[in-house]
Amino acid sequence: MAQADALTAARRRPIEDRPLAWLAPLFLLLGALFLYPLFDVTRLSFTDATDAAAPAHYTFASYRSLLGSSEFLAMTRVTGIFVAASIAGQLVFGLLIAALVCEGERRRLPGAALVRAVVLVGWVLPGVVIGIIWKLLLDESGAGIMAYAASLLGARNPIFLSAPVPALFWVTIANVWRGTAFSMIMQYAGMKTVPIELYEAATVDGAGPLQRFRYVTLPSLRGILLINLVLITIATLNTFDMVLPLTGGGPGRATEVVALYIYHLVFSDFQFGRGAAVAVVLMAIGLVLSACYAHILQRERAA
Amino acid sequence: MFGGPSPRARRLAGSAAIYAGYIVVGLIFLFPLLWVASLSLRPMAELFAFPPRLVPQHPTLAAYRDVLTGSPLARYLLNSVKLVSATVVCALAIAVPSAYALSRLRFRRPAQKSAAMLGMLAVQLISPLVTALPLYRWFSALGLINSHAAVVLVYVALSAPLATWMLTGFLDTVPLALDEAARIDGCTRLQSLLHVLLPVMLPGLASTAILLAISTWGQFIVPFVLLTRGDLYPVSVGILDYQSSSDSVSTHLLAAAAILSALPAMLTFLVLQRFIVGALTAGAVKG
Amino acid sequence: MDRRRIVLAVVAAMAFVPTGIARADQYGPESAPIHITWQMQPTQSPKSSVPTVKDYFQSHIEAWAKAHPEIMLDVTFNSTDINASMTRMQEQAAAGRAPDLAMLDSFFLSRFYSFLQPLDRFYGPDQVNDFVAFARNGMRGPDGTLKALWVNTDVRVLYYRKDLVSQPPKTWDELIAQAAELSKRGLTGYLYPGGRGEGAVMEHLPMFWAQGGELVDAAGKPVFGDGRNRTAMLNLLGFLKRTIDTGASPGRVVNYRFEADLYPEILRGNVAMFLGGNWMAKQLRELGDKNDWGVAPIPLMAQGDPVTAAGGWTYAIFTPDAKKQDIIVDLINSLVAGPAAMTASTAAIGNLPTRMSVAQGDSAYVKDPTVHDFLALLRYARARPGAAIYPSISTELQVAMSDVITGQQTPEAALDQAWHKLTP
Repeated sequence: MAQADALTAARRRPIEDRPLAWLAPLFLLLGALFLYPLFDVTRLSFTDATDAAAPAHYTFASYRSLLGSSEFLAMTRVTGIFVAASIAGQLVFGLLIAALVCEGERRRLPGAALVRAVVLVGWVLPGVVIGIIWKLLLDESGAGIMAYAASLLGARNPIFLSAPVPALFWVTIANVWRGTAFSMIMQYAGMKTVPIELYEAATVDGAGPLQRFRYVTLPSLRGILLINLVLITIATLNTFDMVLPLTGGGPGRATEVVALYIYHLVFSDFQFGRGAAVAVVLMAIGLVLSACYAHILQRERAA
Repeated sequence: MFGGPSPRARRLAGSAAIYAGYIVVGLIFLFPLLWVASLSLRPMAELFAFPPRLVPQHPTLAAYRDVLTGSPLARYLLNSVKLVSATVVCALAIAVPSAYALSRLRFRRPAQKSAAMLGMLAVQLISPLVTALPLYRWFSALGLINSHAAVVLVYVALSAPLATWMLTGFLDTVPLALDEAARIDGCTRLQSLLHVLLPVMLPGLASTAILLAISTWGQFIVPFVLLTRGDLYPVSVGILDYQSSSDSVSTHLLAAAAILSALPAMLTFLVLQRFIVGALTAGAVKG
Repeated sequence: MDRRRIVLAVVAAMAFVPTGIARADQYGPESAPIHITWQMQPTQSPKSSVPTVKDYFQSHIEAWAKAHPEIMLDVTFNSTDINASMTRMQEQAAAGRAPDLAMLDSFFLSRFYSFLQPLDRFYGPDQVNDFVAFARNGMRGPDGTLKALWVNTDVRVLYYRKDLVSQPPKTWDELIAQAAELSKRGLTGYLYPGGRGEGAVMEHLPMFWAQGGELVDAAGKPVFGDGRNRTAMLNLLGFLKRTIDTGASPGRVVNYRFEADLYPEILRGNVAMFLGGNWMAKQLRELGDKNDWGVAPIPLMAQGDPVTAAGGWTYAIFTPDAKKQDIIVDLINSLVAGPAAMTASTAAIGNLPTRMSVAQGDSAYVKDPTVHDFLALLRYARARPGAAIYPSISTELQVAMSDVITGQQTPEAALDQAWHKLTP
């Protein structure tokens, strides 16, 4: 009965008052281009599909061979290091630069806005271009500027991308270079919301700049830091456009992050089923991490 | 005078430290670009000179001329502009009514509204990398591979949720009294949105449009998957072709192409920086 | 208020940027009754960055189009990532949307056999028998029909600076000894592509074949990890390890995916020897390199007959439309495949002809002493296996080679990893 009442009540509402009428185009779009593909990629991951035309059979083989392979383990390790180091770098540098810019603005120093703009430039470039830029920078043949700088410091044949550990290091550095701007601007926005009176009170109490940062700024930023963390985790997990021109995943598989592996699987090896399985695993990792962050955020808020 | 540095001196030292920080930060973020710009301005002979010099001895614009006239870069750039502008317009066309509903209309249950808002955020957690594979099979079956319209459709799906979220936040700051006055004058909701709210929302629309444009400009996976014809590529994909040209030395061309593909995004950004920072700030604070 | 107006103007301007300008490269009138879609390899097309190549294809295609006003050629291009490009085309072919005519990399040809139209009615046995043996084999599908025309080829050699190397090395031991010595003098003794690219595998296959190694068996199954093939591959990987351990080669070879990646170092004038393709001789001159390069067969584990690897491009027809096929055959004969066209096009590209009548002809190009040397090697050339699995084998071998060069894996471990990946 109550349901029927609600139904007639809804019917009586003019169409322009119904939120769904306004939201329909968006929901249709998301349903068709997010939810349906999401369902489909999960379905595909349980098949042995190769290309679009060939018929596929349902199987668990993709997951079984994937989770058992040493290659996947190694790649997970590479991705883990890449993501964790990138996130740490982006958060820390983002926070430092945001603090520098804020402090500069508070002191009305000219140039603060310029620095903010310069950092953001890295963020507006396409990923492929960033990969190319760093590849040119890290040319080891002696005509490269970084190689030359290293030789001035005494390294005769500097290694940037031609050994596994340095390659992963530099790929991470390039990614931090790219992503710091986003963290910086989020932290900057967060700092702008801290009431100025809090700083003034702290100053009156004799706190120096570092103490003010530690006891006033940081605690107010907790919420934003966590949202920031979720966004850059997802972004870093799924990035490979920058790695592609920079190392192509090499040397060997030393910088082949999971996202790049999916690209290779699908577009060089034609293994749609397996590619889908890796994509599902990757998405699951991202969602689990986000859930963990959200959980921490809830606890922090409750505390 | 004798009890340690004066507050003024301490303040000066602090400012000096901040400037030192600015210089380091500026160098780190500008130097890679400067080096690439330097490579792009060299004649071939200077590309491999040792020791390398930041300022070319005989600077030349030949590489720019070559990539613009002798290669498809101009076409890539145009494709990008076309895709980006269509995406921004379509995404806003979908996001504006959605934001209106979320900001102005009464939901039967408040939970529905927060679920919708949360949904907008949740789809941000799904990378196009995951959905690209089924989309490719789907569009392939429909014969929509190599169609810019298909790429725009996916771009719009990727950017409309974020746009909706930002515009909802912006609309929430516009006083209700404004559209209520219009409604009393006999406007329908659509009329009040178009004639009263839209003009007020202009700064918010602009910031959102710029953010969408920048994120769409750099998209790689979607166009790479949905386009197979090189002449349809946007610059974010097409530029890969300059990296490993198997028939000659392409370092200076690559550098020039990189600079040219970065310029539109950088210029848009620098000119409209204030709006972008404003948009990001608004979004972040809402979160 | 002003700022608002500026923003409005910018947004509006972005929305009204002209659309529809991005059209493919077309030859002939849009109104022509027959449209032929054609996917080309940019390095052998009007898109080439090498002037002689660009001019040859530009002028010949334009002339042909002018003589055939009833036809419009709608040309698209492979991307420089050949593997991705070929994979995408295979996908298109499976979906029934392949172009009418396409240039296929010879090592990918076998993956397309089932989609290609037979060409036997255009080229009889006397024509086909004119092609060099490895090309002839690749051009024929498993059913014996002619699937494509292999219109040019290339060989791999050792380049050495005549002022630095008096006697080119014939064996690995000689190569390493000489290169290590040169490296001690501050030069880069020996350079080769050793990274994740087809070039790395292709340049080294002759060293594997010369020991009797085979990648796949007659049925197209991988066998490179078994028996004497395994030994041969381990020897090759061990040799790569030695080039690094002895200082003969720098570790950065692992960054070089293709032959062209070597150019910057070569042009700096510090390289004494390198492994490369015949086309590089012409290109180095055009790039302004002044060094006097000698050319020798690829050094092998033990002395013996030279061995080299041959690649090259093929033209193949997807369209089942007989009338279009007639037109296409006329086009490719006049552009690259007919004897006269092959003579002129290989000279423009700097590649080698696949027709023996052309190779043994008396054009100025094939009489050029360096080209003559390359052509002499053609007798010892092998093509990569036509098995559909070859591109996957190549990918795994690239990883194995890189892992050995960087010292991440022993040759045994690297080979086992590649082997297990392909034979689960």
